[in-house]
Amino acid sequence: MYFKNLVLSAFAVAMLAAISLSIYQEYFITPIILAAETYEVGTPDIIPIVWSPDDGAERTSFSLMANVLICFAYALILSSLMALKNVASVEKGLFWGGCAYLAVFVAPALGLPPEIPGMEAAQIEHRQAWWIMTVIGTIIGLWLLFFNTKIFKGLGLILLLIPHILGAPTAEIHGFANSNPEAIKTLTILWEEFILQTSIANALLWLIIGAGTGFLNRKFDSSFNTQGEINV
Amino acid sequence: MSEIAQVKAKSATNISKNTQILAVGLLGLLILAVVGFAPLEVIHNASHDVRHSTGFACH
Repeated sequence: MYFKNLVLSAFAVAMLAAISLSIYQEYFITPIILAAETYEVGTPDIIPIVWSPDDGAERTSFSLMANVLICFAYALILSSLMALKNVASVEKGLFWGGCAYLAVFVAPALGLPPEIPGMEAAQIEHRQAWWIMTVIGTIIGLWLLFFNTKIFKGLGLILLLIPHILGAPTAEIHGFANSNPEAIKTLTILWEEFILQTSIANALLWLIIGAGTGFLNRKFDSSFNTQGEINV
Repeated sequence: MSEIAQVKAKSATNISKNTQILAVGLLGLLILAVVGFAPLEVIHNASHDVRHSTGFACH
């Protein structure tokens, strides 16, 4: 069945992407988060009210699980879009993965760069709303640019730009919650490193998902054909 | 194959390709909503490092 094929291949691709992402994260990203957390200010919870994983193996395991789920979600969405256009090759898959990276990571990061813990930011609901608007706008914008005629291409370009013209929600005082000048200096370096490492990690995961989906579509899915007929 | 299985198989073949593609996309969106956006503190704490790494809004 078509649905089952898409879900199974998305899961296989997601496992590969999640394992790669987790390894990269463990060595290059989590150490930055942990370092930034040591500068967090506020009253520490003596008795934590809400559960959170203990640092070490437990925290790593939950991150791995969350990586699998998020990669699975990404792979399901990308493979459904690729299926609409019968994309079934590694090269095309890489291109689609690259576009997804632009839409889901780069476009929102232009307004809301990835943040390390301890940063002042606007209200979370506003940032999430802007994130969703930007990602959807960029996906539809790119789709119109690539698959439509001239007039709609213009509309696509407008959709790409609107979120950035409106601007991302920012905190009244943007910066770090910790006001110690030494801490700010260290946190700024950590933040720059964090933006670089997350940019590499997300490119890696999207290229794996794109190429993997294209590869599996070509290899296993006989229902892909130019006529768009269904072989269930 | 039992009668029920035959009926199930038949109904599966009747679902159009686009409906199945839509279902795959919606399943992805549902998982993304939980891992990346759910405001529940426990889910936030479990997926904290991943939300930061993938550029989702956190805290």
